[in-house]
Amino acid sequence: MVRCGYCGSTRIGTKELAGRGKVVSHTIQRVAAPEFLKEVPYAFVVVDLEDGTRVTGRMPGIGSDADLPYGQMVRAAVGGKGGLIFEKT
Amino acid sequence: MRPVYVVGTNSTDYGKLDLRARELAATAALDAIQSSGVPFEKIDGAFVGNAFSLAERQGHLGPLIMSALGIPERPAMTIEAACASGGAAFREAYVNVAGGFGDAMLAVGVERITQLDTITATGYFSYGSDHLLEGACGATFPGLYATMARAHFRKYGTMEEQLAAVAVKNHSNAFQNPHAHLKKKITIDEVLASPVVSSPLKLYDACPFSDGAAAAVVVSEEIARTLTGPKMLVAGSARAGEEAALHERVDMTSIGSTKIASRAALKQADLSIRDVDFAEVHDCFTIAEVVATEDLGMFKQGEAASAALQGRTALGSDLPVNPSGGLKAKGHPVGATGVGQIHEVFEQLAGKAAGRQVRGAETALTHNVGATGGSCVVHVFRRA
Repeated sequence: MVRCGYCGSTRIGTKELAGRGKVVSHTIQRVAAPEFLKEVPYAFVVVDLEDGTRVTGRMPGIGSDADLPYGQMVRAAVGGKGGLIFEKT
Repeated sequence: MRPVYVVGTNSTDYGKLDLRARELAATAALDAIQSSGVPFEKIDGAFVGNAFSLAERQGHLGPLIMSALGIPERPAMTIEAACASGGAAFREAYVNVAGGFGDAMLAVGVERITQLDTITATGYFSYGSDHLLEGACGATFPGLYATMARAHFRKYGTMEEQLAAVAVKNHSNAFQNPHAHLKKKITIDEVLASPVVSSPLKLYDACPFSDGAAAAVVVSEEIARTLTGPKMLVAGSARAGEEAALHERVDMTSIGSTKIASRAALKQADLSIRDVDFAEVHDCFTIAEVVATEDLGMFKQGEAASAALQGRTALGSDLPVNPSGGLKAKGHPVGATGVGQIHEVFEQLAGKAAGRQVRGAETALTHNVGATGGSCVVHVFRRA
């Protein structure tokens, strides 16, 4: 990202995000690309963080839709390869 | 801008084919050129829609295809826009003729992917996403459309049975299409009972991995006038884009690039979506056809899934959607798909679609999406 599509600003920096938020959409991946095949099933999630930022991530060990009701509160966990890893709060 | 006509098209069968991309593309192109009546030496160049040729350790497909056609001195190059590569290649051919830079251009789309196993192919398809934020976080291509589907379920109350109706309809249409990859009629219960790929999407909600190629010959009015075969006018042509990553959009239940491109193409054609006799839309998953028919303006947001279940997009309805069987059942050879849609329109407008013929069709729209909407190409055609 080098320029904001909403305001046109080029003053782009890094910022620490809220570590908590709620799941607004998800899927349970039962088939995965080679690098994630050992982890299936797992959830790919879209999370609205408490600071208003929307991010993607993964929730290992979530194997069914029943495990992840709409609006489930989650927090970013440390570690893991490939993007953010979330766990339930 | 000059008027532009399509004067010949062709397609290979779609499916698991034991031919290299160059052979598939050249086969489709040879038939398209010969059927058009345009002499080979009149072809000014080609654009090749392709996404994954590196999976067969081959880049630079253009010159290989032109060499195979015996016109190696004619320039050709690959156009890559993920699953919209074919539509984008056709548009470049259109732009060249409309702008007077060529009088006869070839648009070819081709993909060879089934030499890969399902998991490896799944990895390749994820490269069409914003890989840093999606594929590398564990999302597959079905996973992203599944995320879109769940958002649609929550916002509008869309149900799995309604999505299944899209698959049933497209399989039924493909059953009448000799080129189709999946020639098998299915029921809603069979869709619902098929294995989950990425919840809530199941195997029968998804298009297959297909090989295949399609080609179209695009010419100026001056050349079109010299030909005696069927012709169609490119009445509208537009492309649009939006954020590649699904979650970066304001609304995850809609593809904004479809709205922009379709409004522009229809405006150029001086038609409304209701005036179009049928549409070939990008249904890589059942939810994609629902979202497409909403974004194209055929139905209000949130109403397309129930409309599909009521048969309002079936062959014989006011506005048939995907009479070819769509990506869902005709198949989805990625780079070929957008050109294959145009081949279907050419056959339909010429009255040659046999059991899947849309009666009296004179106008049609094609809608080709790259990944989850980062690219969209829409064309409108009128029988000439």
